[in-house]
Formats: sequence, structure tokens, C-alpha cells
Amino acid sequence: MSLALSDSPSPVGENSPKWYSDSRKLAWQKFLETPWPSRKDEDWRFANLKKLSYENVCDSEQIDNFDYNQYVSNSVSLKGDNESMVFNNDRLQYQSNIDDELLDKGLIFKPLSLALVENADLLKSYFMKEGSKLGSEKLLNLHKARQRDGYFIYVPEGLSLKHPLEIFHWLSGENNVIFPYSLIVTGAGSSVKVAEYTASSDDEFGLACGVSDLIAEEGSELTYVRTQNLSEKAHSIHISNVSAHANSTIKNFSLNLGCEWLRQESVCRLLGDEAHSEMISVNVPENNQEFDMRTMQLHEHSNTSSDLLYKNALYDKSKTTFAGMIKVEDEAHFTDAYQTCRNLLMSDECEANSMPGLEIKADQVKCSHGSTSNPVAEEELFYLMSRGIEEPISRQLVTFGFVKDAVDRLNHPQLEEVVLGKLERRFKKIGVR
Amino acid sequence: MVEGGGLDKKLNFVYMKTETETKSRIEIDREEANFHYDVDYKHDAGRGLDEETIDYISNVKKEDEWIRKFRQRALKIFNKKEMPTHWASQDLNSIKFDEIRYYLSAGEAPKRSWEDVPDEMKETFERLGIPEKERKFLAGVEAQFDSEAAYSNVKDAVSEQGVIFVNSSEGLAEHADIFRKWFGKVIPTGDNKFSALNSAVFSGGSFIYVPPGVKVKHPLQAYFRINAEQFGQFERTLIIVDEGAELTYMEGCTAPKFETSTLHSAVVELVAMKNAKIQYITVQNWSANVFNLVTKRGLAHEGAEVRWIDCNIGSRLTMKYPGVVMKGEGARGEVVSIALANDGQHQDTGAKMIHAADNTSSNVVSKSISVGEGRSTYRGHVHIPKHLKGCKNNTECDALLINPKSRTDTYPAVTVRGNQHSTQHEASVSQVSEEQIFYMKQRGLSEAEAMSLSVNGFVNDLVREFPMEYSVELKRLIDLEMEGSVG
Repeated sequence: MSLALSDSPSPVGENSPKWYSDSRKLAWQKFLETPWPSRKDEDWRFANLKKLSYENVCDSEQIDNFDYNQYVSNSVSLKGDNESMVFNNDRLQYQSNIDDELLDKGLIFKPLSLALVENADLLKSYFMKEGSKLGSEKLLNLHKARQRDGYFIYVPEGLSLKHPLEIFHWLSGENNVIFPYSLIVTGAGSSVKVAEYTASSDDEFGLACGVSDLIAEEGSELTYVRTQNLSEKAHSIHISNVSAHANSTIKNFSLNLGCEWLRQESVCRLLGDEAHSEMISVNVPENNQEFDMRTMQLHEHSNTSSDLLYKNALYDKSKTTFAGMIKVEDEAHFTDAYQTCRNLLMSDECEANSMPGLEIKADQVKCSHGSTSNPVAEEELFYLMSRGIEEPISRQLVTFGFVKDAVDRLNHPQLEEVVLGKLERRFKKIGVR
Repeated sequence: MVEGGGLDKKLNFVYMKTETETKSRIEIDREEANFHYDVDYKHDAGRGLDEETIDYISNVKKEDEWIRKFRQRALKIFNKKEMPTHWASQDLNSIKFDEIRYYLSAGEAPKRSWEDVPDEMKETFERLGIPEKERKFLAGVEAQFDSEAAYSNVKDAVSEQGVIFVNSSEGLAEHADIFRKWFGKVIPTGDNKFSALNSAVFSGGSFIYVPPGVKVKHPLQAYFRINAEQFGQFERTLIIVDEGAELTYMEGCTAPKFETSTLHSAVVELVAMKNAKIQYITVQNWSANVFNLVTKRGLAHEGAEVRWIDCNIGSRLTMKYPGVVMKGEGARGEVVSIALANDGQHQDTGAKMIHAADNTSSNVVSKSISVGEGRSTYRGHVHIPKHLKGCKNNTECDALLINPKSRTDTYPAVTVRGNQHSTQHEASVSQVSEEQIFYMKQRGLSEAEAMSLSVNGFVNDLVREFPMEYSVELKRLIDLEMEGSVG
């Protein structure tokens, strides 16, 4: 499993702070020292380790004359006056103007490269504090050592943003790798919604190895919607770390449509009284797509709650692996934690693996998990068909209803519309069967 | 070592005595090994495990060559396999394989007087209402009590129906035509490190064959038979129930079994032929210094049913995941289990359901209770491969935590391929609600009594699956374990 990224990472810009270049060097060292995941790692059980082989990939290059306007207008997005950023191959293509009033109040919405120069100290106090808890230490360090850009959102105390912020990431060219980094911090009592779309601009093989750090300070609200629609040959590795402090609420939503192989690791830490986290994911793989998703709800403080809902609709020879863990640490009494994974089996050749787990070290807790794998229920089909709807269409309707239920949890009409729009396109492409 | 070289070496030894000191020392070592051949079989195999230990056991048992080879091969696999500590408890590393006696012949069982038996154990006997005579046996004071008669009565009764009910040595020696075909087939030697260990050093256990159409009315109890010999550390059980026949088998007992040997590793293989039914009931209450690492698996042919009913109360660490391979169409598998983990205990139990034919169904119901600093773990594995249709699995695991330091884990894995199956898994963790306790307290129960009642209610639907005398004892045992856990 050699990685042709074997050359040392390119040096960072001259204006970047020293701590940043030091942390990259250290991460590169750790990457080299850490072994690749092996079959014996419990965190990689059921995983297809053969996919983790990147012989010819290299850091992505600048693509001249990338017509981002065309790509943005063709994609399903909010289509409003939202503050937005567009990246291609980790290079900023466009950033909308930000309302002066918001800037005056202290909102930061900047590319990482710029924030490193202008807000280095603030950035440093939140930057990549979490390690990997679900088996991808090596990949996390690879990202840390080679990241090129990304964005930093800081919502100051008490500020509530009305409209969601939008970020587009495009991956272009064969064998290219991007390392997008997202850092979102909501200060005490503030709130923000962020939509981030990752997609390929062509149908080549490429790798997106991204990390998202979400930090909600006391009493704040953070909603993060991430959609992934890379090419059918591409790979995606994404690690998200959520820290929810007292009285905060974090929603971490993901939609996965593209990729031949993907690995998604989501951890949420509940760190203060009444912290609440929701993890929601909708995945619709087809053909030979393999989605490997691992989650952890980590209750480190008493009186916290978390809820997780993962819904997978599997077509053709696709394969999903869901491994979820609810961990309740010593003293984290009065925890409420729920975890549900539902697989809708749409073909005779798909494969769904579920490993819902619980590790409870404190009493006075309410925890439960459920996991089901079923085909479309005959009764539901019968009901629709008895009303004159043909079977294949009935089947699609039921499937759409199945995933919509998870999207509804976003509880935000505009964001729901975007996700449902992407799903509609997806089902159109899959066609009635 | 068995080959004819032994005598030559001895002669050689006489000659070598005249040679240098160093050389003779080497030969003396060899001589010591050779000495095993002529021993009086009342001795044990000593401590530690190597090829000679295996030969010793095989010789004592006067086994056929194929069994000796089977054992020797198993030893190699055992030595090669790593400890499964990448997923299992690190506590496994504290097993000292070199200090264990792998075979004790009857005369050499450790002797102990009634005074040596810990008071708490005597108290438990009292509370459970164990007969005086049995107490001494269970505490290891007496090697046997008079169960010989009971065993031969049972044996006579069932043998009229053509049922064979013998120990492993007798089964392999006298009924090889029946048992050899399935021996080590349901659980291959290399299945895991401890099945390999058992395959190398097994002794004791039950071999049972039920002929076609025979429905054995009364449950067969290992209790009788094993008492007639010695409790085995490395029991080997193989039960074959032929077409349309039915059998219920019970092993263990609710009374604590005082043990000085710290490793118990059994292998139990069940074969249910077409439309046969097997129900295997275990109650395990080893003393809290025992590692209980057991491999249990059943093979269910067309229309057959295999049920494991399992209760784990004792031991320091139990690792036991009864499995059913549903090989024929319409086969059914079920695991019903109760685990109770108190201070210093880890009950790591679960179930393994392998669907290998159409329209097979499996059901797992597991309930665990963690008291004090006890830890209970559920591990499940459900596998439904491609090209099958109509397979169903239902898994439910519920855990109850009693004290702030109690711990519980759940690690299930479900693989489903194809869209003609249905699986569901549910697990929950909870504690006894304060309202419940309050309700009972205001009706005059003490807090401990109320807690006990709640816990009994939690497992009640599963306790009913056990035979009556067991369920009565189980209830008392839960009362006992809950004492001192509140307040």
C-alpha cells in the first residue's frame, strides 16, 4: 500500500504562522510512523482494505480557467443570496461578499489560507484538536500534513445567522487528491447553518480526504449539512469531529451519493450539561459502490443526549457497513442516547453490514440502538398498487419516503429542499426498477 | 515418542552412563520423558502442555492412533494461534498456560476438607437448599457422591430406546462409526485458540446419539453422568439427534462450583438431522477465579431446530457465543441467555447465527444484569449470504445496570446480502426505575427486596424457559446476588 504522495508535503505559504508549519511536519512524521489499518483492527472489521491503495495519486494541481459558474449553476444548491465560497482542487475560485453588518459583529468566514494569516491565534485555539477515535489515525495525519486549504467559520457570541453559509468543493483531474478542511466554531449563544457540497467536475478517479471540526460553545446551535457526489470512480475519506458544550445543539448531516469507495468517520463528544447532538445520514449507493461508515457518540458529561439515524437504500451490488458506538463514560449519568441504522435492500446482490454497539460505564442512563435490514414491505407496495400505481413506481415512492424521513430531521425547509433535490436527481438516474 | 525407539534409547542410556557427565545429563532428560510410558496411570500429566502431555493423555485413555494425531495437530494449531485480545478482554493474558494441569486421573484430584470451604459458599448452599450430601461434592470435598445409580438408571431407561449416552472416550472408542463422522466437524479444531486447546487435551463430556424418530421424554442431565466421574476442565460434548428425533440436554447447576483449576475450556457440538430438535440448557456458576472459555455450535439440517438456553452467573471471565449453522431449508436456531456479572466478573457472551439455506430463521434474546463493578458484554454475529431467500433474524438484547460503577457493552454485527431477507436488532440499556422501587417500598418491601423483585421481573420471561427446578434456584440466586448491592 504505497502512496505516491510519498514526497514530503509542499511547504506552506511564507505568511503562515510557525505553529502551523510545525504541526504539518509533525503530522507527516506521524503519518510515516503509523502503520496502515490491518484486517485485525476492530475499527476496520468488514472494511475492504484493498481499496486503501493509492499508487499513482498526487496532490491536486491548479486547473486554469475552471468555469465554476457553470458548475455551480448546474448543481442543486440554495440558489439564494447566501454567503458562499467555491473551491476547485483546494484553490479558492470565488467568494461572495459578506454583509458588512455581519463582519462588524465579528463573523469570520474565510478560506483557511487567509485565516492562517489574519486570525492565526484564534484559529490555533480550535485547530485540529481531536485525534482519530475510529481507526484512521494515519489518514488524519495524512490530511493534516498535506492540507492545502479549506475554510474557517467563527460565529461570535450571540450572533445568529439567518441564512445558511454555502461551500462548494470540486475535485478535477485524474488521480488527484484534495484535502479540504472545515472548521466551524459557534461562540456562546450563537447559531449558524452550513451547507458544504463536495463533487467531481469529471468522471475520473480521485480522492477527497477531508476533515471537519465542529465546535459548539455554550448555548449555541450548529447545523452542518455535507453532501458528497464525487465521480463513480472516486474515493472519499472523511473524518468529522464534533464537540458539543453545555446547552448546545449540533446537527451533523451527511448525504452520500457518489464514490466507488468511501469511509466516513463521525465522532461527537458531549462535554457539558444538556448538550445535544444529532447525527443523521442518508446514503443511496448503487452498482459496486462501497460505503463504510463509523460513528461514535461519546458521552463524557452527565445530563447529555444524543440521537443518531443512518438510512441506507442499497441498489445493485452495493455494500454498506455501519459501525456505531455509543460510549457512556464513568460519571456520565443521566445520559439519553439513541442510535438507529436502517437498511433498505433494493437488490438481490447488495450487502448490508451493521454493527451497532454500546459501551456503558455509568448507571442512570437510557441508551438503546436498533438496526434493521429489510426489503420494501409487501404491504406498502400493495397499498400503493391497489390505488393504481404501478409496482416499480410504488417501489420508488416507498424508497423516497424511506430516506425523506431522515431528511425531515433537518427541520429547515431550504436545506431539506436542497438535499431532497439531490436525492430526486439520484433516483432519476437510478430509474424506476 | 510413541514409536519403537524407546527401548533402544534406554539401552543406549545404560551404555552412555559410562560416557562424559554432560552427555549423560542430556540422556537423563530424555530418560525422564521416556519414563512416562511405564507410569502407573494414577498419576497426572503434570503441569504445562507439550507433545508429551498429549501422548500421556492419549496413552492413559488407550486411544486409537487417529485420535492421538487429532490431538497432536490441535496442539500445533493452539500454539500457532494468537490470543484474540485485539477484540477480547486483555484479562486473557493473565492465563498462565504453563501452570495448568491438563489432565488429572481420578485418584489425583485435589483433596480438601469441609473446613477449607469458604464460609460464603457454605452460606450459598444453605440458601439454595442444596442437600447435605451434594454440598460436599460441590465444594470438592468428596470426589463423588452416590450418583452412579442415578446415572445408570437414566442410561438404562434411554438405552431401551436405542439412545447412546456415554463419555467422550467411550464414544470414540466403542461407537466410532456413529461419532467419528461428526467429531470436530461442527467446530473445526482451528475455529479459535481455545477450541484448538480443547481438541488437544479434551477429556470427559457427553457423547449422545438419538436414533430416528425417538423423542427422549425426560431431559438428559450431564449432572448425573459427570458426577460419576469428575468435572472436566476440558469437556468435549457431541450430540447427534437423528431424523425426526428430539432431545433436551442440561448441564451445570445453579450451585456454585468451588474450583482450584482456573481454566475451563469446553467444546460442544450439536448435530440435528432432518426435522430433529435439540434443546441444550446450561447453567454456569463457576467460582470467581475461573476462566470459562467455551465454544458451542449446533448444525441444523432441513426443518431442524437447535435451541441454546444459557445462564451465566459465575466465573471471573466467561467467553461464550453459542452458534447455530442453519444448513438445511427451514432450519431454526435460537439462543436465549441470561448473564449476571458481579464485582470482579466479566460475562462476555453472545450468539452466532449462520444462515446457509433458504427460509431459515433465527432468534436471539439476551438479558444481562451488571451489579457492583461487574461487566457484561454481548457480542453477536448474524450472517445471511447471497443467493438465499426468506431468511429472518431477530435479535434483542437488554442490559440492566444496578450500580454507578456497573458496566455493559453490546457489539453485534449483522451482515445481510440480497433483498429477500429481513433482520432486526434491538438493544437497550436501562436501570431499575425509581418509581418501581418507590412503589414497592411503600407497600412494605425493603429496598433490597424491591430491587430483587425488579431484577427477577426483568429476566422473568427468560427464566421460564428453564426447567422448573432450575428456575426456582435461579430466582433464589438472583436474590442472593442482589443483596448488598443497594443502600
